Amino acid sequence: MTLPLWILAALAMGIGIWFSVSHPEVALAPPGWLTPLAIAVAVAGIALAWLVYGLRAISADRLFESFAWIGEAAVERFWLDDLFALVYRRVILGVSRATGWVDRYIVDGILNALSAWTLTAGDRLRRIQTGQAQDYLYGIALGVLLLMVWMRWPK
Amino acid sequence: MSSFLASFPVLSVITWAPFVGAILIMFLARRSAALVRGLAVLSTSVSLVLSIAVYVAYDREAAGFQFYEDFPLVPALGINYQLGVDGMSLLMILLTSIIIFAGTWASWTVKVRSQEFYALLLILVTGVYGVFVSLDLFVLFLFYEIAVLPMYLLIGIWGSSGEVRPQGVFGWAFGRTGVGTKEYAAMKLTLYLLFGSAFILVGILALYVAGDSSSFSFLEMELTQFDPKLQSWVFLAFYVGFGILAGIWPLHTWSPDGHASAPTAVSMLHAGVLMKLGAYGVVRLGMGLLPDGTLQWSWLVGTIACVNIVYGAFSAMAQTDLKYVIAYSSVSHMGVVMLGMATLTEVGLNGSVFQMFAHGIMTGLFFALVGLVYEKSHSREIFKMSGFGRMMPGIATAFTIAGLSSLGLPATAGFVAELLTFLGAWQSSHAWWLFPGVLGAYLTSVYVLRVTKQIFWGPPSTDPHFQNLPDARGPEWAALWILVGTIVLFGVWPSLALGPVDTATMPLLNRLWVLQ
Repeated sequence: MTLPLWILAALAMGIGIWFSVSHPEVALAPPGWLTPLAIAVAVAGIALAWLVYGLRAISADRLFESFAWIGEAAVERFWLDDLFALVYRRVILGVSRATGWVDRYIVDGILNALSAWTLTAGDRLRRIQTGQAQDYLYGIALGVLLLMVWMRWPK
Repeated sequence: MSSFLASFPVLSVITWAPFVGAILIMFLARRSAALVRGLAVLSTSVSLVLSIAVYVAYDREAAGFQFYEDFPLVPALGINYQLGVDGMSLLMILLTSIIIFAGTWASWTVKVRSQEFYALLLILVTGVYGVFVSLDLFVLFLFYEIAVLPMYLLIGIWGSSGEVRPQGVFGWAFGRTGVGTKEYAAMKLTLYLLFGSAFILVGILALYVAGDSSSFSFLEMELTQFDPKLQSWVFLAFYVGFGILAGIWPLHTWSPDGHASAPTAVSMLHAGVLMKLGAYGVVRLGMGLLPDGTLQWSWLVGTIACVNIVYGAFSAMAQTDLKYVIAYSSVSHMGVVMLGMATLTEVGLNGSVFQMFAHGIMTGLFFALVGLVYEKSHSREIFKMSGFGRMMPGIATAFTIAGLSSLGLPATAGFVAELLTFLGAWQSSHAWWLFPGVLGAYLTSVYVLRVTKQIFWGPPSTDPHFQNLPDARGPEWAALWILVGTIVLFGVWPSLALGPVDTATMPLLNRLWVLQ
């Protein structure tokens, strides 16, 4: 079962060694101290792990207690999942609910109000048509009057 | 093959075959549902086969408008029945054929008045084909109206109603207008689109009067240099008129209601093809005839497109009705289409046209699937459904593929479209358009994966209504296979579409770039 791990480990180390031997041209030149530092940190980590879990020279529980805050952060996965959940639940879903509401009740609501007003206006305006001849004559007279005013209006 | 296609008016046959099918259905197929479906499948197959043939036979070297037909209708007014296709309309015709062919299979289970249903559906498709092949603006407008009007009956009779609780300061108007009912949705869609077509008609007439050839021919108007002031307002008229159909914010609210209320095949056709008609109109008439107007207003088109993308995605996420999610996702994705064209770059415009196709196929598949899920489970409530993947693995797989195309995963058509559009946005003079675009793609992945996981991949539902639901069966598979196949085919082989499209977009952009 460990065969895949061995293969991956060999490949990872092989590539690292190949790069450090062949020095391919890179656009970004790292400062000279970076490589030794990285290797030193890695070796220190390996050595610590060996001392704790291999030789059992240092108690893992003691270590955890003395660095409790790092341990807790690690157990909580550095709160990254909580951060994602917060952004998703509060921010994204919150904004989406607000947008959905605005779309249905404001953007579309304005349209519905306009059409309701149109319906009401039609309802009211149709009452002009009473069927009484006198009313229509009044209307014609008013129209003629307005026309005369308009034509006589000083330019 | 091209000599065979040249021997008869192939574009007319593609356009009118569904119409002939509709007439045959009305006269011959009374009380025989099988005959109705047979005639529908037959007539749409004629269009599909010929569309593919025309697509293959189109000469990309020569480019320009091909398979030209010309027949005088009203010579005194310069109105001709003039047809032709270039690389862009070619792809749109192919899209229409695929969607309607799949749609006839997907409406296999329409039982009420299936004769009238199929007849109206086929008449509508004739209108859509007509818009894509017309080179005469008057005829184009006629076809446009044919494409819009049957929708009212299709939604009003065969649609479905929902319930919307009145809220907010405009809540009082809800009862008066009947928000949520299918009649409301049908009326809203029709009034909105007719409102838009008034702008289009004014624009077309203005160009007709201003042009010196007194002809409605696109090819002749293309040669005319219109006054920049005229171009400015006519472009706006076309943008608003066609843009309503393309779902531009804030004139998009007809689309979620309309798509959610419409029966399956109608939603497929409407979101899949009719919205593209709007975008196509803006590119063909707006950009094609009014280069100055385009340059003046591209900032507005692109900025509103960004609003569409983000706003549509957020709205989609807020929905609890599955059909509304897909409907709002169309608002968001049509934003990508409009953004691509506003970039005025080659990749952007190609991405825009590709997105018209990719979104058409993808949303057609989505609506077909929503229809199937509803038919099996009688539910569209996302948060009541759960774990359907075990009972309907085929539907679940197809839904997931549609979702992945929607969020732009590589190897699906959606990826190519979004990548090209975003590249275009970055190259354009408004590089910031990239950010809302990419944010929209991210939000899409949030709501698509959330819905997919909830409905199909969650734990099995304990609700007694949702036990032992069947998977898709028989003819229902046809639509799914065709659409999934197209998504993947064009995803892994995009040059299939981009080849012809590029021959159509480059001349268009060259005319714009000269002015810049």
